[in-house]
Amino acid sequence: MKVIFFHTKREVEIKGGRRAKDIFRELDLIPQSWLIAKNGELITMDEWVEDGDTVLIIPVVSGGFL
Amino acid sequence: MKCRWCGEKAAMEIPHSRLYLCRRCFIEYFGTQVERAILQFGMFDRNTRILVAVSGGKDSLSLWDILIKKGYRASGLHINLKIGDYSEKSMEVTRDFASANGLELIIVDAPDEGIAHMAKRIRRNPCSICGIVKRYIFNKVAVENGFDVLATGHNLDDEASRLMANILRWQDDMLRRQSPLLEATHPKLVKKVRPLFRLTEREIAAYVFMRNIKYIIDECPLSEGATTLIYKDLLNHLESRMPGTKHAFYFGFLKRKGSERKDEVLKECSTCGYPTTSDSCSYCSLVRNSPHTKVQK
Repeated sequence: MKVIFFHTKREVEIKGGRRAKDIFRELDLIPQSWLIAKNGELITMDEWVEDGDTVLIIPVVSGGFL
Repeated sequence: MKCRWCGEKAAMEIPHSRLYLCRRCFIEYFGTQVERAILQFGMFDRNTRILVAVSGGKDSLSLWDILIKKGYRASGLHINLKIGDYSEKSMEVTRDFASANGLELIIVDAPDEGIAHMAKRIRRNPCSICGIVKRYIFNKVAVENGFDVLATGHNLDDEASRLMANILRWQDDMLRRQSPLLEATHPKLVKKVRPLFRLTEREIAAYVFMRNIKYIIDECPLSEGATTLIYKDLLNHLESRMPGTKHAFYFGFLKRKGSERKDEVLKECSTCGYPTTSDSCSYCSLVRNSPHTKVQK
């Protein structure tokens, strides 16, 4: 599957279907700091992601300091 | 996993409340948390003229969006901080949001000298200089334009990380002042509120994604290495092992603190006339010797 980091547009290819939480583990990310979307929709950590899906990883902390 | 409220497919988990919600129910949950914050602290009602400080980031835009959606009278205030491309992009997304929703937006320029230059000149970090400039302009514009309340998009992560910083350095004065609501204690001070204080940064990021709100995702280039980001990261690591830590920390603080607040004795700044605890306010002290700015009385 293609994993795209929303803010940097960096792309990572991960082989084989797996749950969202396993993608996080593989990329060494903690769920509190990121959101994950599959084919344009946010998903929960237990959701299965297929090999052909496009995954977006969105940082939780972002610009606009007040 | 299914939505706990309606049984549809869940899109978002909220571990501190052991909730799984679909898109529709999450947006409802988000609005409920904001309404709860507004009522809990008596922040404002639907007749109040609210000025929302809008940076173009997800927090302030989501705040403006939800207030309008809930029927509040909210105009926007954007400060052009003149931090190169970052400020240009921030202004563009804020303008786009305002015009797409038919909302009033006031844009004010920060002093010409620039945040980075000021910080270098008086040897302080840019975030604290930026804070002084923004707080001064927010208040002045709100007072001069007759707004009843100034609302900012500070979220639970902002509040918890600030609390941690204040405790680690035992900043008693800052701890006394830390609250989702600061009353107007002077005719030239506007009431300040933080209606997003019950929501985490993650929940806000989910809301803007679900509502398809375009926002500036880049960090401010001057905030690199800001301590607040270190505290946020630390709290997120604690939260991942112990869900609910941030809520317990900040809400526990508010409960212990109660409504007790020793009001400071305010004078009027000798240069601009706005309230301050010393002879000259922080803003005027900052710009007094600036080669590029002049404070208008």
